[in-house]
Amino acid sequence: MARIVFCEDEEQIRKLIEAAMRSTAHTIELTVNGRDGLEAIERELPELIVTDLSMPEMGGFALADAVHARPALQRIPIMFVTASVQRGDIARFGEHGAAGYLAKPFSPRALREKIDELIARRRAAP
Amino acid sequence: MPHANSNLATRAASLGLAGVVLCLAAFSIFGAYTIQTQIARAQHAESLHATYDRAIIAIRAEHSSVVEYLLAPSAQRRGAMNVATNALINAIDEIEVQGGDADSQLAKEVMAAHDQYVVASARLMSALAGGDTAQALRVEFLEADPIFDLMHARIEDAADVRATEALSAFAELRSTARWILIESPVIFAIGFGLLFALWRILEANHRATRETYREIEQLSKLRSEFVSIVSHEFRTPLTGIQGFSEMMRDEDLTMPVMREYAADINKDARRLARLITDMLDLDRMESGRMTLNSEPVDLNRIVTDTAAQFRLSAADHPIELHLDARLHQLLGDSDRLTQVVTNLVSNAIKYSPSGGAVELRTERAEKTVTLTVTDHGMGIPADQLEKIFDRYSRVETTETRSIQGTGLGLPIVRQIVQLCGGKVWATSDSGRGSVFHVQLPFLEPAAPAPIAA
Repeated sequence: MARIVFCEDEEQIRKLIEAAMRSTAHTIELTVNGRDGLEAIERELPELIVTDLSMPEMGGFALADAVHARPALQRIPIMFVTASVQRGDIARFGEHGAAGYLAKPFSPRALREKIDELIARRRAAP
Repeated sequence: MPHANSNLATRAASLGLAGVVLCLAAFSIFGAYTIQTQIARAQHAESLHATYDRAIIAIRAEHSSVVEYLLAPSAQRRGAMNVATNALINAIDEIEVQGGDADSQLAKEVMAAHDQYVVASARLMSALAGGDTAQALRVEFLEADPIFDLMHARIEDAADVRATEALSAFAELRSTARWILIESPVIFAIGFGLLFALWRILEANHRATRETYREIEQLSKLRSEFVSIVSHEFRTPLTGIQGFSEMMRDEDLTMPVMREYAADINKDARRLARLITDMLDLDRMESGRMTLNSEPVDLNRIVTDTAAQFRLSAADHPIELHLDARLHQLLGDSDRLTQVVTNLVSNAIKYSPSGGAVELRTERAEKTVTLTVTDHGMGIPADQLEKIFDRYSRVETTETRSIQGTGLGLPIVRQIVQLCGGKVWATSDSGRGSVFHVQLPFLEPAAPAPIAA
């Protein structure tokens, strides 16, 4: 099991994430934007961050940059979940240090598998 | 493309200018040369003519001195005769040198005739010296006089021709000078005018092209923004539908959880449906394909009915009505006005905290009807008061983000109100609520036909 922080501004999608993660052993923390997310990350020191891109106040890219700027947090992998996945976007995910991404609409199973994969990779890393 | 066009206009204008300047230079050189040549020709004709005149004077002087010598011989008269003869010979020589073929031909003939004349006058003088006056007179009348007449007539005729030539050379010079001084500036003014006109046309054309290009660019930008927003707006409810239905299919869920997920799916599906309806409505209105009915409508009635609906669906928000009783029926489209009131009330409720009251007010003025919807919610920042009526431009904060909406409600309200010939605007005390004002022209339905007695 692992601690995971989610940032998502759409209430319905937060609800879906919560339902999808209910059957797993992970502990999840749901936040509504990047600013709240960053607070939770500093507090919880999770093993994975899953964030939406376009959110009010602090979007996904700004959150990723803030996380990588903090030495205590910079090794936490980040996964982007976004409605717009086009060629240019994938390149930008890399620029902001993404460990992975998932396009909306996503299947709950795909979300769980992707999360497990990223956590396993994180744990295998030295 | 606009760049290429701009270059074209500039290049055409500068090419034209260079052309005009080159023409001007060529014309100046040509003009100067022509005038120079014509002046020389006129001067030459004039001087030749003057030489002929001198020849005429000399020949007359010679002859009169011969006649005078005949009447009263003296050494002095003899000398005058010699001077006149020399002057004549000089003038004829000059004519031969200055003039053309005709002149030298004439000079030769005159000189030949003059030789005979000299012989005749010599004989005349020797007769006089011998005291034979009768013989001298005979020589004078029968020989010297006819020769003189012949020479004099030849020279005078030629002098007339030369005078005409000189006159025509001067006339030619005058006309050239006038052309250069008066007509050529006019022609150049016209040339510059045409060039300027060409430049203006190219400029205008180029500006129009640039304008069109910018419009197309704007449209294309709007289109891609629209596609990206729409795809985003669609993906969010689709994520719920796909996710919840997949869990219902794959997981062992209890009936209450199943029901809950089904409700979520239903909510997202309805959101999608509303989004599509709103988009289509707005598209029809913006492209002018929507026509409004014009029927007698009771606005107070519409407001009351809408309020009643919201009291059911949003029971925790008190809705207060302040209706103007003077507002009877007006001409309008009942369904679309209902849509306006519904969208405004729905917004007022969405952006108010739970329990926040919403006020609906109607007011009749002489030519207008005003509907105001007041809420006590979070309010609207001053710089957003206009923008909220644009497509998909909801005020984005975490507070508003949790509020579901298509971002099309207010644009639809504005479109309908504008189609009715009215206007809509918002005022707000940020943090203390907003007021939406709808002002419609008051169009009274035709009075019902009086019932026949």
